[in-house]
Amino acid sequence: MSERHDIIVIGGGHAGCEAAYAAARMGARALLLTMNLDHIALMSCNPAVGGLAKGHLVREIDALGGIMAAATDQNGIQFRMLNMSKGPAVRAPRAQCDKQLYSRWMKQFLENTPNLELKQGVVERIIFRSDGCKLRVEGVELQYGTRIDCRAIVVATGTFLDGIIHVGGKSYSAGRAGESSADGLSGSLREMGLTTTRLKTGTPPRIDGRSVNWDILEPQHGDDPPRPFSFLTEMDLPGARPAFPAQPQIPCHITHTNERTHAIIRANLQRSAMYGGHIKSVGPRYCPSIEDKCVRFADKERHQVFLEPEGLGTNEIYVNGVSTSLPEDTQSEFLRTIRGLEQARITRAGYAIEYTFCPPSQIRATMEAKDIGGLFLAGQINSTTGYEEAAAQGLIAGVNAVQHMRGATPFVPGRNEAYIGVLIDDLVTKEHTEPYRMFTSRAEHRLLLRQDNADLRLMDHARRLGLVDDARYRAFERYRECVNNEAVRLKETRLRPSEIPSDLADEYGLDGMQKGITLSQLLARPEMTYGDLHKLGVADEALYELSFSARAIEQAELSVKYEGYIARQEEQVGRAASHEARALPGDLDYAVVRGLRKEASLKLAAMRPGTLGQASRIAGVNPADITVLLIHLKARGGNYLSRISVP
Amino acid sequence: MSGNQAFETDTIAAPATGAGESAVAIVKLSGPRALDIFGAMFVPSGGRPARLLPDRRLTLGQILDASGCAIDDGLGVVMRAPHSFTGEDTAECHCHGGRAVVLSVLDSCFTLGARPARPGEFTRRAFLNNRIDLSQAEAIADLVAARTSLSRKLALRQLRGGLSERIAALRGRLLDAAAQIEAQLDFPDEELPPLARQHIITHFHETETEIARMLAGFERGRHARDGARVVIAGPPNAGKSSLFNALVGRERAIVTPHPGTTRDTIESTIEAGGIPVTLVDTAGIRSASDNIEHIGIERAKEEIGQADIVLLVLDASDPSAPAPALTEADSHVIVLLNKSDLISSTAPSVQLTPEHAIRVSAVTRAGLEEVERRLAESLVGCAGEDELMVANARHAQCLRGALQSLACARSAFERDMPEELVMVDVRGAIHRLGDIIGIGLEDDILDRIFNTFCIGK
Repeated sequence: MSERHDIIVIGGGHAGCEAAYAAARMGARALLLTMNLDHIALMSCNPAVGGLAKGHLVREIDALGGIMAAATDQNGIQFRMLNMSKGPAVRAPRAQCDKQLYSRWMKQFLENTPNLELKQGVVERIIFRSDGCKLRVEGVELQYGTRIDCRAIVVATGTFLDGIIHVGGKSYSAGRAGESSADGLSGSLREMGLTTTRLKTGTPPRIDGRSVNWDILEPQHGDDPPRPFSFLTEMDLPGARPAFPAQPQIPCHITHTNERTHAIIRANLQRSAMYGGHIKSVGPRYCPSIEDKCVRFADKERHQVFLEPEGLGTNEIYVNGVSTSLPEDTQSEFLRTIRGLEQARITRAGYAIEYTFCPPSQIRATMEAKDIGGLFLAGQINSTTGYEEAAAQGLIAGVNAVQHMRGATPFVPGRNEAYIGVLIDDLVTKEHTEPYRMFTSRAEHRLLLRQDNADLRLMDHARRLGLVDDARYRAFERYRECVNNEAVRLKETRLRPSEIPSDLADEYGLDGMQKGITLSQLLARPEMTYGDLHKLGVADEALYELSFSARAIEQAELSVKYEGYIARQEEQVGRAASHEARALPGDLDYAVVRGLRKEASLKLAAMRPGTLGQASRIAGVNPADITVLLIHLKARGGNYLSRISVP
Repeated sequence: MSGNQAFETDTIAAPATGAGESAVAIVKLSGPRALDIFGAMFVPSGGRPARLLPDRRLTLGQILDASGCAIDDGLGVVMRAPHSFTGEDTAECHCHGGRAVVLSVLDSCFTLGARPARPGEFTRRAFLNNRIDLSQAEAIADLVAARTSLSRKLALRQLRGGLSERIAALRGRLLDAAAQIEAQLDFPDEELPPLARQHIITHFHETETEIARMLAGFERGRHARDGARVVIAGPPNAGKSSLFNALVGRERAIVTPHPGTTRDTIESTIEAGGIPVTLVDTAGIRSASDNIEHIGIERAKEEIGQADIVLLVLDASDPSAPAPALTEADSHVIVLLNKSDLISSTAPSVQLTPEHAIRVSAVTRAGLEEVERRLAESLVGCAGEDELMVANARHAQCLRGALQSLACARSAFERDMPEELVMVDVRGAIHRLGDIIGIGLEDDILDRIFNTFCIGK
């Protein structure tokens, strides 16, 4: 009798950890399989979590009971809230982390999670059977022949599928520097009918911190005091409030490339794996190699370089901004032209890596493969980049693997609910020629999807799915009640000039107002803050006494200040969103839809969107095509255009 | 099966020319069986079967009815899919314009298997087959409805894609501005050049001006499409009805030398500078002595209130005629000094000749051309055709929305509101412009950011 679990997660990276943890939290017996148990949740690239839109994702993962935010709070060594000079919707937390501590903490955390087992092993093959026209997964077979049965699988293999690392003209098979790739599994995926193709990404060299002339470099310190990622870290849970920050805080440093750096890079372009023609796959535009920067933006005199510590217990420094596939000697040569790095000694060379991914047009918004029951894909295998994007998918895949097993309704957040919803919808409706990264500009509901209200948006889902426990949910409910009550009070309370001292009435320009003004009208003035209400004696003083007072006050303030713009944004978006929840029949033959342009017909046939809303976002499908589809479906009759609740 | 499905497989037929009598009429067939039906009812004189005619070449031949009897001699032409207007197989019979002939040819089509086209169905097929975009489809609807030469010109211009190009250019420039703003939001750690706020504000302002100009053109173009109402008004016996008749070109209004003859309003349609004009003759305005005339005067006042243009007719030969008190608000009033044939060119006419008044004579027809020219000028303005590009109400509605959004965006920017709030309206404006030409937003902004800035670590 072979070993048996409910859910098997293949891969112990950021997607795999969240998938396994979510499944276990929901009560499923989960097994996390990884090639190296000492490399759980390793940060293969830069030692940081968060940033614009990514920080938003982490807050959402946290609100859905995920681990990434708490792990960052426990292992972060520099916290910054970005864009503080701009509005709240585009503020985002970012933290430098200690890579080793992060990995070790995560391993221990998962080890202590009930229902979850961790196991080292390389999956050679997915075992499946044919169930009519559809395949169903049954288990996996490991490298040494062990068979493990399960009811659903989450594949979260990152860059490890057929990974090939390139440095200069040399290349070798690897999943990450120093680790072997997984070469059997991609064949198994193809055997099940999945199409695979290749992407590339890159990473910069790491250097010895003792070889850097720190004294002449500009330091970049974190916020003081730092703000945590996890709502849990801030909440007043009985006896469970963790210390924050948990680690000593240290700065990063900033330096720049210069003309000499660029001259060396240009002179050696042909020796770069990318420019020398060794790599044909496409890399991300927003994460260009230093070679790319010098070629595409040749007139730029200098490029920024961030020196980020890899951790507290190591001298290694991550040289952020100079991702490269040049030979190691050239990497060393150009690094030494950079101010402060004149003596720099490379500890690990930068490299480009090519890997196999499955174009995500093959999965549904639930993360399940369209034609393979019980097979879920999450993370870089779906063409994304970034720890946060991976973790978000892992969580959703883990949840839906359990829902699949139980025959329960899958969970797919909408584009108006979460960046996670935007991410998944973009994955399944767009064509991906470069690794996908989240940006706030991708979210048409941006003003709603703020990092400060992720729990208000998502905690009820988490509760319903069994992802958060009673204590946390009760604390959240208390907080939500305070926020809602205060929002109502601000709307209903009217301030008359006669009620306040005349000097204050004068200061706030209230003395002329006979009928007075509601508190929300007053607060809506651009220069007003909740602190001004406090000064006028009309704030809710009880709010100041709560453990989460800062957050509650912030929410109350935002509910007023953003209201008009949110209404306008929703009106703008609403015009396009009327088809959002209209189901498209799965068996629709787009080739015979009369009047559908060839391009649209091919795209739709390839993507097989679940709803008319998804169809409308597919690149190459224009509004006229949607009209044609509507006409066709009406003509076809039946209730295909009935509204559905699940995409 | 629902009735809607039929259009996908049916062959349709309809006269492509208007309902009135004309020298030549065209009957058009479109759909999968168009060539079969055409082949059965048209015999080319060369002996070659109609089905084998080369594409888009007019050929002389005989048009038959369903039983094979000749109806008419005429021209035939075939256009095979997808190289036709509808994107389907299409054929046309050009026959003589008599009503009976056209009906016979149509009857032949229907008997052989076509069905009557529904209004706009050719255009809808063209649209569904992606032969034309949304704004072009709408232009064709306008073209079909176009009543006069200028209206046709407007519709034709839009059909050729002029509007689509202009809108795409405006939208492109807004996308550039959006990319500048968004880059600041999504990439705070990058060393981007500081946001050129003033430049962007100026840019928004210019775009607003351009949209406003297009909308003003639409307002003028409204006359070109829908026609204008021009009311002839003035004191009794100034010769309004004579002038009305002279402008209309036939005796419609009863003319007598007695003041107060016209008791009700009379309308007729003329064309002024290519614009359809409904000309309205009214009763002279004075203190009426009889009740019927009184009612006529009330109607006249009502008409004047609704007029796009008022032709105020004064009697040039009557030195006692009161001078009109025109103000700025009366810019839509054109003063005509009638009966100018009765006075010598040097003698003073009305006590106070208003500036720009036109001397006319309904009797000698002197000055009538000038009246038409002035009418056309007032209705169309001195605008070039360029400004008359927008001729469709939906487009105007989208443009108004874009204009409003841009004004909000600019004002928010000027008040230093956070950029992500400004972007709500910038995106709104981009969406509204995209609506005109039928494209969504997709990844346009991100693409522009990556093409413009060196982003990424």
